[in-house]
Amino acid sequence: MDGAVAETMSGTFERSAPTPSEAFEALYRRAFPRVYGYVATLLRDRAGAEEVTAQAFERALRKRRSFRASRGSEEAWLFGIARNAALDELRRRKRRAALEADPEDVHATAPDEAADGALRRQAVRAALGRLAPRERELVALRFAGGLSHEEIARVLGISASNVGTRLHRTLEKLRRDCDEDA
Amino acid sequence: MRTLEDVLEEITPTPDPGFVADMESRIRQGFPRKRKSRLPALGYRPVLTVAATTLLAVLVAVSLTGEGEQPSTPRVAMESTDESAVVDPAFAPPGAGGAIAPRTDIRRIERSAQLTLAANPDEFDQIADDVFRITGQHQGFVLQSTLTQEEEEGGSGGSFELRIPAAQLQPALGELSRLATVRARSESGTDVTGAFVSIRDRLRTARALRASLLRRLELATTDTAANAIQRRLAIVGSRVGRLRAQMRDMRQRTEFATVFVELVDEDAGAVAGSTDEAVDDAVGSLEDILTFLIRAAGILVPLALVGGISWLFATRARKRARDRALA
Repeated sequence: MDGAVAETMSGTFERSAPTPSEAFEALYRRAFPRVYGYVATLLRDRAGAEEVTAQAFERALRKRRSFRASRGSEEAWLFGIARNAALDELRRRKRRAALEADPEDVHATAPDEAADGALRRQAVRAALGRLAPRERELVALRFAGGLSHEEIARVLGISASNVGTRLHRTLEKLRRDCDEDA
Repeated sequence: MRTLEDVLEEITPTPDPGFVADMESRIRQGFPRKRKSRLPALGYRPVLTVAATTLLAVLVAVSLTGEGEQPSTPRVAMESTDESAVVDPAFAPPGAGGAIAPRTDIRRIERSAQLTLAANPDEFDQIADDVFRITGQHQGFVLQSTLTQEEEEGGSGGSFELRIPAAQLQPALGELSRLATVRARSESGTDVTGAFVSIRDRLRTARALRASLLRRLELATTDTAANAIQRRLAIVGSRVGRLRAQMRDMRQRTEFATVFVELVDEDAGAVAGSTDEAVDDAVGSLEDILTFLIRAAGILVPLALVGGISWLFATRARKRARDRALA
């Protein structure tokens, strides 16, 4: 999102409104599927992902006055909130073991998928499941969340160049793993 | 051939239609708050309660300490319209009262009052006459008086030192205040009962000793013994005289109030006086505010520091705990 829109968002957030403002609703429509995808990839649990996603949007709505356009885009801000909620949920439920387990029903394969595509997706999912949690989170932020390197850097609190390096290495690792599977 | 990046986007989990509909509804309603109590989840609330209680206790302690900074001399407020100067139970200290003065049925209070009257210099003579008249009407007397009439503005003025029976002080002040515009008026009282009782007791003792010596003088059988008793009688008689003089002085000071009346030119003092008073008031208010702010800062700054450091530690600890979830 460009700066002008972000400023509009900020201005709208700062207005006192009992119901979600139009800008927040626009952010919701734009980011909801991606936030859910990111959270579901992190938690690997559909019910948990739904709960955390709803919680993240609720927190974002309550804290919308804390958003500052100068600190990054509203997507980065929203994903930061979602990440904290997801990590809190992980801590609460001691889901570390599950994070490292095989993918759950969130990646269930549709029966009518073409065989090649299904195999390819299955290989990628398996390789994704073998990644370290931090690496998988990076991939989830980039591909499920659709965030730019700068936005990921904001969410994780690291530099954008670091994000690029780590993402490149992770994708290379993922690619090698998939090729070995194939 | 699809790239790895394409596949990663394809396998992104998508929300169920039921969840999407539920979220749409909650977004429209603005996520209404659940009515369940959140007290157990708020671990910082007890800390806040303790901090608020501590702050309140400290503030009360500070205010009580401030009240304790009274002069040790028992100054008595004279706002009361009670005209009795000798027996005045209202001025008796609470409880046993021993800390201020010995228990006694007669309280001795030395009273004084200052009155500044502003008037046109042309009226000064008439006002001076009225001051003498009012003082006489209340069985008092004028100890000292000066009246100056000058041509130049602000040069005229007068002052009177009056002795008025303490019982007549309030009505006399009331009448004096009606003579001209009252620029300032203050009254004060000092409880001297302790000193009075001490002098009285010493006088009684000295008189008893003198009576005893006189009896012994009558019974003296030798000139030597009679001479010795007479020498002692002379010393005791001198002491009795000194104590009686002190008693007289003390009675006068407590039975008669001292009243200082100052007469000023209403034109000369009006503007300057009011401006000075306004400046004094402003400075006084500023000092009060600064005192309060310094006291408040003395309490709030350490509390804020402790709170800020605690908040910082809590935030960092939470961040580390979250990071450990992905370790």
